[in-house]
Amino acid sequence: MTTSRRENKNVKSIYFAKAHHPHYPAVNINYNIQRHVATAEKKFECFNIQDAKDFQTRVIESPVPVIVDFHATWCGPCKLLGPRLEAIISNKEGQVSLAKVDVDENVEIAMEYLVESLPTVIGFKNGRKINKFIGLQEDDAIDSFVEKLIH
Amino acid sequence: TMFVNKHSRTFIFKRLPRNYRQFTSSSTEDYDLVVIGGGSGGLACAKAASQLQKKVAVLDFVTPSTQGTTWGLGGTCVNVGCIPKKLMHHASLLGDAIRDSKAYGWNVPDEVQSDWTTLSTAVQNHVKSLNWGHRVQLRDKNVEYINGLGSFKDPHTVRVKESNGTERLLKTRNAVIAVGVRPYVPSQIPGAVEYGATSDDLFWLKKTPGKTLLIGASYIALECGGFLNGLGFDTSIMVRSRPLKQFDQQMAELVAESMESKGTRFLRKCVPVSIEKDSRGRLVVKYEDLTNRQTKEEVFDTVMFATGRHAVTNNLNLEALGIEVDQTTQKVFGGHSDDHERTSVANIYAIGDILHNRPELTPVAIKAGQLLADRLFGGSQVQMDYNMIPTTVFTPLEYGVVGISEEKAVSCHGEENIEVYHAFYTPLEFAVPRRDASHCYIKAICFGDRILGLHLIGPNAGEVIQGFAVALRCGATWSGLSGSVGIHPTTAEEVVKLHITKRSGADPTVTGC
Repeated sequence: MTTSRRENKNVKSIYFAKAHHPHYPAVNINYNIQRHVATAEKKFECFNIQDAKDFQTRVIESPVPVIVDFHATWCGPCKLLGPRLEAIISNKEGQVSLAKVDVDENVEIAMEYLVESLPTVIGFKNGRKINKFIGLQEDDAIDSFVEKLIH
Repeated sequence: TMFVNKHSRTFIFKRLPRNYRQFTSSSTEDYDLVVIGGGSGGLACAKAASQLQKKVAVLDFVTPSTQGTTWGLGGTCVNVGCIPKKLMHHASLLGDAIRDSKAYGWNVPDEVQSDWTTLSTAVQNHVKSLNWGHRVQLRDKNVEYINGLGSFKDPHTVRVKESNGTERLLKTRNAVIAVGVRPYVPSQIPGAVEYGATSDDLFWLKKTPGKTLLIGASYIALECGGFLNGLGFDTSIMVRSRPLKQFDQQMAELVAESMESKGTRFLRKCVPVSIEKDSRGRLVVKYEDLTNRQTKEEVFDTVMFATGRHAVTNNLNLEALGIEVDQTTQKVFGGHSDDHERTSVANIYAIGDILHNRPELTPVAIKAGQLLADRLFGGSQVQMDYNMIPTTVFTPLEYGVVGISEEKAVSCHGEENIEVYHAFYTPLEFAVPRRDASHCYIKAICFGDRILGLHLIGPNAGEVIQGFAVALRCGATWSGLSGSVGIHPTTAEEVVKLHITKRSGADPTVTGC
């Protein structure tokens, strides 16, 4: 039996609901559409790491947990993972920040944390590495990873 | 006690243990091996030595090309050689495949165009992922990597100047020179250095090459000209004498003809005189036709020199150490004390393209590097075998070869003692789209039952020749080869089906099954 389109989080689906009163028009109910809303207010901290000192201050010494996205310009899956991470973390209301590390510009940091395949995502809390995952993941997996780090 | 982490640079001296090494510009640590050059040979040697529990450092630095191109770790093969070349060669073959597919029933448009930016970006992304892969590998294998220019202070001290200016002295028991070679651009030709690109630049070109002139007759000129033509660019190759002078001449001529039949223009017996830029930014090339001494002029978008690759050893300080180099090529002489890779200084070796008079091939450098590490640290006595090394010229119709040329065989053994079995064949796949197969040719050069050389022009020649090269290394004879059963239908089987000799004068064209 195939998963219904409703349960598949990656599928944009639009259902039309029948009008429930003659005075109210039929309403479009949108299910499961990923929102990439650009707003002026910052919902969460998302930044690019410049160097080792930057990593120390904004990740190791961060008061909130930080998800570190190790990526590269030449890495295809990284380009797909980035927006997914941003979308999921933006929904956590600042409980966790997102740091992006370009491994070509920050080789030493990547080497220190034994990054091999890309993308590699490591969760940091209180200056220590808590959990990590490698490769492009589905939204559910990313979400549970982020939740595990926060709690 | 004060908490000191690896990111801070302050020390409290009186709290340091007595033998703590202070952070100075010269390291007093002893290395077992320092490898200068992080290419195919250098990396292989360094990793093999590290596997044997030795303390190894590899230095790599890319001096920008004449046009300012630079790249990451991995050497020529990864960045500006084999890898991008093969990917672009394949890209151009895909164009042929799309055109052929019509005859096979695919619904494709009559005209298909290639997009240089998409292709070069994809190729560069792959190359960068390999640069990264090499960094990771060095870390995994515990090899120290230093991005800096190395030179010798003395036989046991390598000075390395890093890109940020810091200098370090590495004391080492052994050293390997694996710096490779770089394209040579004849500076006496006005405009050559200023406007001429080389293979160092071609794969990293941001803008499309457009109408291209390649100057040179080497496999580099032909391979690059071949794929540029296949991708749809107006391509000309200027050859001073003959194409592929280092290879069997009959095969070289067939390869050039196959390229001409696909639309590549050869300007034979011509030499460049000058290159200028016109008001629109295009390159005006003046050249001389050596047959009639006429000077001609033509405009191109890109001019690429493929006029040889030379060693860049003047910054290594080899002279001061007494390391002998060849006067013409500046390549390092090996072969001292019965060791193929040992230089005239006992603890210094050379591998890869920098080694004088050895094939400039990645697998040769890798194997030589690994065997050297085994001899230095693993107690092995095994020397690199430089005989019967197979290679392939990746022109659109590939040319694969293992062994010697017909000219060499004749000069070594005399024409009357050599038997050459040959055949013109048609790959089955060519039949349906009616592709020109007149350059698909094989010859086996035999001395009695010994096979001295096997040459094959055809699709996937590189893949085909690999297996036969192993067979020859294991001592396969002519009777063994011709007694083998072929796999049908393939082009490789045509090798075991060879039976017509040149001497017989019979028509070597393969007919039916």
